[in-house]
Amino acid sequence: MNENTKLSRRTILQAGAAGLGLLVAGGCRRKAARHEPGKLPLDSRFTYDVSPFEHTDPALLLYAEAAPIPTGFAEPKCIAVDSHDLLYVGGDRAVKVFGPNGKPFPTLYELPDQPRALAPADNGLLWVAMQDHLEAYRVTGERVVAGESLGEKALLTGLALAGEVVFAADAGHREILRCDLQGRVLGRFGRLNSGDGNPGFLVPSPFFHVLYGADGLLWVNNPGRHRIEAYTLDGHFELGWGRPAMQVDGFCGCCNPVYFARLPDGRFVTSEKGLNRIKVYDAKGVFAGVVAGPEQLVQDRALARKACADCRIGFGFDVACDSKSRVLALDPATRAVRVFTPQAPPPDQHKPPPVKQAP
Amino acid sequence: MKRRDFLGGWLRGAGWLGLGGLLAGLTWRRARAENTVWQIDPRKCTACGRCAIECVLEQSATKCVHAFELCGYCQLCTGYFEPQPNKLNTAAENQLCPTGAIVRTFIEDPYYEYTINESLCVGCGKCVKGCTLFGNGSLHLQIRHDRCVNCNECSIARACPAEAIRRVPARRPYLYKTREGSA
Repeated sequence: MNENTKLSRRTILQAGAAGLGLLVAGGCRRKAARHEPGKLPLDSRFTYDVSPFEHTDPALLLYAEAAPIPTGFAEPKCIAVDSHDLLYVGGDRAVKVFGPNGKPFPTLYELPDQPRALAPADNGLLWVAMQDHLEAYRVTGERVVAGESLGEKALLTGLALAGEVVFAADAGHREILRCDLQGRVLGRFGRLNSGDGNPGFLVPSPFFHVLYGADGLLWVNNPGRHRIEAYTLDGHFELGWGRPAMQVDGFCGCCNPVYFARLPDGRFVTSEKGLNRIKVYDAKGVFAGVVAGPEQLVQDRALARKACADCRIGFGFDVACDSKSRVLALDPATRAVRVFTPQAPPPDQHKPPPVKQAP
Repeated sequence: MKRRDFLGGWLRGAGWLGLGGLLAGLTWRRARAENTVWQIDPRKCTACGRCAIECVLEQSATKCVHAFELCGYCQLCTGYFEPQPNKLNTAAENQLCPTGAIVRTFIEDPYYEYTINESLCVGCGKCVKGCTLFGNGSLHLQIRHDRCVNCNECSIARACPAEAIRRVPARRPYLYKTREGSA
């Protein structure tokens, strides 16, 4: 090995090392530049903050959470409970059935499209609201009713059975449809300015539900008015309750509640989006307490954001109640049914009412 | 051939190749930059507020835009009103936008239209957060190309924590929200 060759190798190595050093230094400088602050950070006036409303007073909690029921759906959409406390969960292109203990039944209803709302009937039929029509299935999975299409703009999101009549909430046309047992439309009511004397439904986003109560009234959420409203079966407005408020006793945001159900004693369970909270109101609409607050319902915000299918509309928890006053809430983020059981009332509520003194 | 000559030849060749590659890369990048512009993907944007402060312009090129076909025209718009307004009127204390850049116009009972005054909008995204959290998310942020200087390396894109800013073809410079998603 001569002197020239030895020097040349050293020179090459030195040059290589110097080049590598320059590259590393350049990379570090570039990385540091990424962390350089731009203009002054925005002050608190530019921050949207609803965190003061995300905390729930523990004294208001009426329910405790039990183990959830995984649905196995990629995109669960709706739930319902029948008179035997069987839980029906709709999602993807099917409906699954679970026992009261959360154990899945072998029954599987395969559907042509995604279900939007469910209503199990006492005669064993399962009514399903598809986007633009109604369908009904036997327990064997056989489809016995496939109603007519209600138009391109129709978006059925709620379903209720009242004897021989099926009521469907159409969020697309913002009205309630009265249908026969073949899924044909017999009548409709509630559209704004329709001249039927009703206040009119304001449904900015596709969260519109209907429920037939033991009181013989049809209960409908009117999210744009922040109310739950009652109608006669022929579509006349009877009463409504609810007010817009971020405080826990009101309905938050632009349009809530998005889902609701009734407990066996007639109390209402409401579910809100945006500030996800599930609450209980008595039969007259007076705030009674909280089932679960935002901090309990949405523990992983990134997961919740992913669950919002098109990241355009916030999501809510569809709710249903069983005969034991449990509240079942469909969580689109964890794709499970969250189960809430009533907490024992505080000891002082067990005390008998004070005896009235004779005058 | 000496080892020194051999290595020298290789080094010279590699140098010319590197120089050629660098020139080709720069030319390609320049051509690419001329045909594309920066834009915010509203599906990824989290309205974090960085657009308002990271843009090299004194007033950010990012502005709020309104997809009217998605809007619910709500009386209580959560993109316009503070979370707990005193009243549903246009009084400054009830407005969410710190610069008063949203104009509320009565349409018919109970509907209101909301439009953006872009000269006042700083692109902070506060209204976008309110609208997305509670409403339909019709308010969203876009880079306005009558203002954007189309930097080679967009400083907002560099700072965006959601990596929501990317280059789009200049012939379709906006990613507006629509009923189907983003167009």
